[in-house]
Amino acid sequence: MQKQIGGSFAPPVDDQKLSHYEALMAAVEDRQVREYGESLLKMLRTFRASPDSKAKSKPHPSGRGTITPLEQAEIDRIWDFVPWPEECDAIDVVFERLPSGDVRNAAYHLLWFARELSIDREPCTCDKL
Amino acid sequence: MASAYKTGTVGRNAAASGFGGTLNSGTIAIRTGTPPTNVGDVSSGTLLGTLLFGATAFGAPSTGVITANAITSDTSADNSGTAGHFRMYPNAAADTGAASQGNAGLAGAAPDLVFDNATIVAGGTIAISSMTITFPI
Repeated sequence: MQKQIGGSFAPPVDDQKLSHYEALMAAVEDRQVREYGESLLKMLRTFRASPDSKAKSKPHPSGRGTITPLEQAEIDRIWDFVPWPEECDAIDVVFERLPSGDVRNAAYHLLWFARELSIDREPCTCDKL
Repeated sequence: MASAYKTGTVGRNAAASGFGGTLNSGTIAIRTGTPPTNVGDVSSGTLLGTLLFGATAFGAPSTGVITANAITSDTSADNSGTAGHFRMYPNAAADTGAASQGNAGLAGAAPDLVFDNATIVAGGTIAISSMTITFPI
């Protein structure tokens, strides 16, 4: 079987949702989950403070959505808040421990944004499809 | 004596056509974790989402190769997690009865189904590009 290309496009977030996620994470007893969650929330709050990238887009190989690279100034601005891909892998291991429910959904929603930003591109949420 | 058995184009096309027809209106289930050892084993991991093959899942075979017609995305993923494997079913995704399976993940791991972001979020969209399967000689 040849390699097939998949695409994952998360729901968008707004300030209300982020506030809800902050409340969820603050109440998590698992310290690793809580600390990773709060770190990713800080990343997302920082990222959302600037407008979308105006760099040239190209079609996503999954056949849906587009890939828009972040502009270098934005990459530099959020650099300290975005985990490396390898760090995202480690966060995934921690989040996988969570049972199904609101906290797991919030955690993976934040991780999805981290994965997108870790490869220096504008997160293509499903409302943009 | 080493085996000299081979399948020619006629045979490969017949196998491909038969397999492809099995998946008409079938499904692709994306799940967490590694795939079960055997296709006949009970499903493992958490079901993240289910995509749909068309009423005619694949086009006509050519030299043992079949290419899927448009695959309908899952526009409301069932659960959150990291895509680890997939299974293809003749109809609705289930615990058994899969036609085939493969692994899924980021490109660095060279899986059968490559995601540049393998994190799936409940309520989000999962899409797959056209699928190509080759039946070997």
